[in-house]
Amino acid sequence: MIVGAIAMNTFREAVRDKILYVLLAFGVLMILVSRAIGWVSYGGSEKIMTDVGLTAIWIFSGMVSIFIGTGLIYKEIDKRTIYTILAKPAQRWQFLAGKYLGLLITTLVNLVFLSTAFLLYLWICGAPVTIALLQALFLTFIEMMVVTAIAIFFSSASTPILSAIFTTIIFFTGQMTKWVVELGASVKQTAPWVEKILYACYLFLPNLHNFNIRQQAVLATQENVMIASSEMFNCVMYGLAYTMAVLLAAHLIFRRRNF
Amino acid sequence: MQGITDPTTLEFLERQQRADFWNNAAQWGYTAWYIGFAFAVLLLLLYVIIPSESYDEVLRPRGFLGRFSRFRASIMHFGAVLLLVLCAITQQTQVDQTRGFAADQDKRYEAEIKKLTATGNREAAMKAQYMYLPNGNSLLYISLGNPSIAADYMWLTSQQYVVNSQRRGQKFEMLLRFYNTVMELDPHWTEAAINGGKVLSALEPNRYAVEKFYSGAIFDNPGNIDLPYEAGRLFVVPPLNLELRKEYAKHATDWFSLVIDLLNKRPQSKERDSRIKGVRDLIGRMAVETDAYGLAAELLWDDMHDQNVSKALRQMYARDWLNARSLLIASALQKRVDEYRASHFFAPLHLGSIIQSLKSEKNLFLDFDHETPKDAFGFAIKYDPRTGKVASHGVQAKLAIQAAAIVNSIIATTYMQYNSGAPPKDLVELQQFVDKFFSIQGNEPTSAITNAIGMELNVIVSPFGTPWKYNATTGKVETPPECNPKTLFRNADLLVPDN
Repeated sequence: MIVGAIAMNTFREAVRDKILYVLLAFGVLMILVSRAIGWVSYGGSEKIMTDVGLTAIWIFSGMVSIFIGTGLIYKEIDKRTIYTILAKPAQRWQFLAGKYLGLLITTLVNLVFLSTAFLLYLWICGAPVTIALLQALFLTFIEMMVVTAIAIFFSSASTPILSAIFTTIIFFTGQMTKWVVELGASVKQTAPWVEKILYACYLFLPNLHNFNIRQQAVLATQENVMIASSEMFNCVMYGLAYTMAVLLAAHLIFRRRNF
Repeated sequence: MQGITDPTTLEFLERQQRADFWNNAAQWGYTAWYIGFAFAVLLLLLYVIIPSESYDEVLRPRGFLGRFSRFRASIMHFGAVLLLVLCAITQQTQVDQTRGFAADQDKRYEAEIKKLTATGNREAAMKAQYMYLPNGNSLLYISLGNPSIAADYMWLTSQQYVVNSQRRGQKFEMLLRFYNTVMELDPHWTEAAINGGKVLSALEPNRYAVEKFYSGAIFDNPGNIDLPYEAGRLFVVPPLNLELRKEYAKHATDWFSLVIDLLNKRPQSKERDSRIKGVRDLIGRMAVETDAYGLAAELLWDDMHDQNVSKALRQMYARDWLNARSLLIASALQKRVDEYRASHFFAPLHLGSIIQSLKSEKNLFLDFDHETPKDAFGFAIKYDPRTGKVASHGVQAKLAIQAAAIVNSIIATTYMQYNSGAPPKDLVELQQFVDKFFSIQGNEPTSAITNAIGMELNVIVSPFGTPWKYNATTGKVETPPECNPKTLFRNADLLVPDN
C-alpha cells in the first residue's frame, strides 16, 4: 500500500519531467528516420529499419532510466521532502521500493510508447512484425529493470551527476562484459592474476549483453521463427536476480544514511 | 570543354558572371571586415575613455562622455564580441585557404588517392583508402555490442564506396573487404551477402574471389538455398578466356547440385518442384560445357517430356537435347578411336569395328542401328582417319549459325562503320581488321564473340573446318543449307511436335 502510493507519486513526478518528453521525441524521430536510412540501401531496407528502431528504443529507454533515476532519491533528500515521507509510518525500504517501482513504471510506459510507435511504423511500411521482435523488446524492458536498479543504487549513495556518470559507465560496460573475459584470456600467460581480476569483474558486473537479442530477433523475423523460450527464461531470471541484489545493496546503504 | 573556353558561348558567359559575382562578394567581404574591425576598436576605445561613473565624488557631472557611463559595460561587451567574431572569421578564412571548403575536402582526398594511384605506389594508395575503414571487431566495440547496427553502417558505407570509386574511375579493391566485414558482423544477413555478391560479380573481375566470399556466407548459412544458387550463377556467364570455360561450368554445376540437394530436403511443394526444375535446366546446360554430355542429355530428356512446361520451352529443351546427345555420341566414338590409336599406333580406317563394340554396351543414348552412325540431328558422324578426329556435323552446323551471326555482325556494325559503309573485299581483309581492332585497349571482344569464333578470333574458317563462303556484294558470310534452323532442328520438331 505504502510502496504503491510512493510508486504512483514517483511516476507522476517523473512524467512531469520535461527530459522524458525530449527523449521520447528523439526516440520517435529516430524510428521515423530509420525508413530513410533503409531507402538509401541497396536491399535490406526492412532489416535496417528494424535494426535502427530496436536500437533507438534500447538507447532511449536506457537514457530515461539513467537521467530520471539518478536524481530521484537525491532530489528528495536535497529538498528535504524525504522527512515528510519518513515521518509517516513508512520504512526506508518501502520508500526505496516505491521509488524503484515508480521509475520502472515510467520506463515501462516509455518503452511501450516507443515500441507501439515502432511496430506501428513497421506495419505501415509493410515490414514484418513478429513475435521475435516482441521478445527482443521484452528483454529490453528486463535490461531496463536492471539499469533502473543500478540508477537507484547510485542515487541513494551519491549526487545526481556522479550517479549518472557511474550508471552510464556500467550501462556501457555491461554491454561488453564478454570482452572483459577475452581481454583476460589474452594476458593469461604474462599476468595470470590480471586474468583472475578480469574474470571477477565479469562475474560482478551486470551482463547486460544477455538481454541483447536484437540481432537474433531480426534474423528470426526474416525466417519467421521465435526465439527459444528457455533462452528467454534464463535471461529473465538473471535480470530478476541481479535487480534484487542491487536493490538490496541500495537498501544496505540507504538504511544507514544520515540526512 | 569547348563551351567553357569559348567566349561566344552562353556557358562561358554564365561562368564569367558567377566568377564576377564572387569576386565582388570577396571585395565587399574585405571591406565589411575592415569596417567591423574599426568599429570594434572604436567601441573598445570608448570603453577606455568613458568614465565609469557619471558624477564625481562631489556629484559633479563628468563632462559629455560621463553621460554614457551607464552604457560603458555594454559598449565593452559589444566591442569584444565583434572583435572575437572577426578573429574567428579570419581564422576560418585561413583554414579554408589551407584545407578548402568542407565540400572540397572530399574532392581533395579523392585527388590525393588518384595521385598516389598514378605514381604506381599501390600499397600507399590502398593504405590511404583503408585509413577510414574500421575492422569488424572495433565496430563491435563502438556499437556497444550491437553488431547488427554496425553491419548496417558498414553496408551503407560500402555503397558509398562503390559510388565514389565509380566516380574516381578506380577499381574496387576494398569492396571485398567491406563485404567481408559486413558478414563478419552479421553472418546471417543473407540478403546483404546475395546483393553484395551481385555487386561484386559485376565489378570484381576475379570470379574466384567472389566465389570465396559466397563460400564464407554459405558456411555460416548452410541451409540457405539462394547463396549457392547465386554462387553457381557467377559461373554461368562464360569467361573471356575460353580455356576457363570448362572450369567455370564445373563450378556452376557443383553449386547447382548443392542447391538441388538442399531443395530435396525441403517438403514437397509446387514452388519447390518448379525451382528444382529451373536449377536442373541450368545444370543440363552447364553439363555440356563440362563434357558431362550423358548427364546433360539425361536431364534435357526429362525436361523435354515434362508436360507441365510449355511446348515452346519443351521444343527448346529438345534442341538442346539434340546437341547434347550428338556430343555424347561423338565423344564416345572419339574415346574409342583414341584407345584404338593408343594400342595400334594408328587410327582405324573406318568406324565399323568401334560401332560393333559400342553396340554391345547397354547405353540408352548409344543404341546404333546403322553401320554409319548418325548424330541426333540426323547427319552422318564425320570421321577423318588421317587425324583420327570424330565430329558431329549437326553440332558443327549449330556452331556455324552462331559464328556466322557474329561474323556478319562484326562486318555490319564495326567494319563498315570504319570503312565508310563499304564491306571488306575478302575475309583476309576482315581478319586483318579484326586482329587490329580487338587488340586496342577498351575494344576487347565480348564472351559472345570469343564463344562463337574462338579466342583467336578466326573469321576465315568456319566451325566445319572449311573457309566461309563470303559474298563481297552483300558483305555477309553464307552458311550451308543444313544451317537453316528449320532443317537442322527437324528432329526436335519430331520429338515435340507443334500440334
